[in-house]
Amino acid sequence: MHGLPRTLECVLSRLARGSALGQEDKAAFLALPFRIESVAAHKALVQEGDAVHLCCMLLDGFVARHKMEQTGKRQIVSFHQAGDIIDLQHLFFSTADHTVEAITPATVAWVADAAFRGLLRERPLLAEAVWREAMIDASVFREWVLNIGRRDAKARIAHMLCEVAERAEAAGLGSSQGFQLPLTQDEIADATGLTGVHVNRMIQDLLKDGAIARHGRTYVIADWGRMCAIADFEDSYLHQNDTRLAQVA
Amino acid sequence: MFRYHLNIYDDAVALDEDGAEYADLGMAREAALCGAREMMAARLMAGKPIALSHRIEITDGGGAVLATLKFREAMTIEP
Repeated sequence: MHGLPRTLECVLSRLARGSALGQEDKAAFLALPFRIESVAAHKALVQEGDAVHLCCMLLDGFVARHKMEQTGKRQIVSFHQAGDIIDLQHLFFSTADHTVEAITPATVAWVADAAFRGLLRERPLLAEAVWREAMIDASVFREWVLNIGRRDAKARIAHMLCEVAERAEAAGLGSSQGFQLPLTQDEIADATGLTGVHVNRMIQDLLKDGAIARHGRTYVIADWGRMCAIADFEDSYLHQNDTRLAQVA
Repeated sequence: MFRYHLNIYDDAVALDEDGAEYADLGMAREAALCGAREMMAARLMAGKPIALSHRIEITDGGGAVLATLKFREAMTIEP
């Protein structure tokens, strides 16, 4: 193992984007006590129904949050990348209402909820930055409801892939053009409410359109403009360039 | 669990390069059936024609065809 992150730097840099954290806020955040854990792909980090006293911050890798209906059909409700605080709600609730699972090998930092809550009480700008994160999460969920509720299969898949690529680029984890998608067909199916068979067929269409390309065993977005047009993708709901909070502080 | 590939032959060919794991061939066929129905439903809603001869072939990792599902078998039509 080499180069695995050992600090909360990437989470701080995500929080600092678009908010007005001062040097003391930043130092206090980095001084939070945490325990590092590296897990293999497909390992569950949090299970629905578990008692939770820790907040999970993703330092490396790619994870999904999902829920299951009674016959075992899975719906992925969000994807997360390095720098994301995956389960802010576990600062406030005692039981996990969904499962968090690593899609690729992942490294997370577990932060005790009491320590994090205490810090947020002492540092209002940090509290605002975290609140802002939760609001962005909510905006992304609204977009997913629209995506799964109203877009056809091809647009739905394209939109989800655009979001993953766009967020990765904003976090400095890759460029949307030529971005390597870390997802299998069945994971895309579970995130878009489709069957794996239908996803395979739609990916064939996206390949034929030249919007994506096969790169070994993974896919890359080959034509960002075409992909966005197919997807009806417009990134304002991610609020990545919104600096209002930084200006009013 | 065994890995099966569900290759689609409709107005294009979509080979299932990754495949997916199922308990047995019956479960793989069930997945093909759900997929065929979902694709046909999407075509119906978009006002596109459905060809009953379109099919999904289920193969093993070596490419041997273990079962074929015609779209015709995935629906019941009553007058």
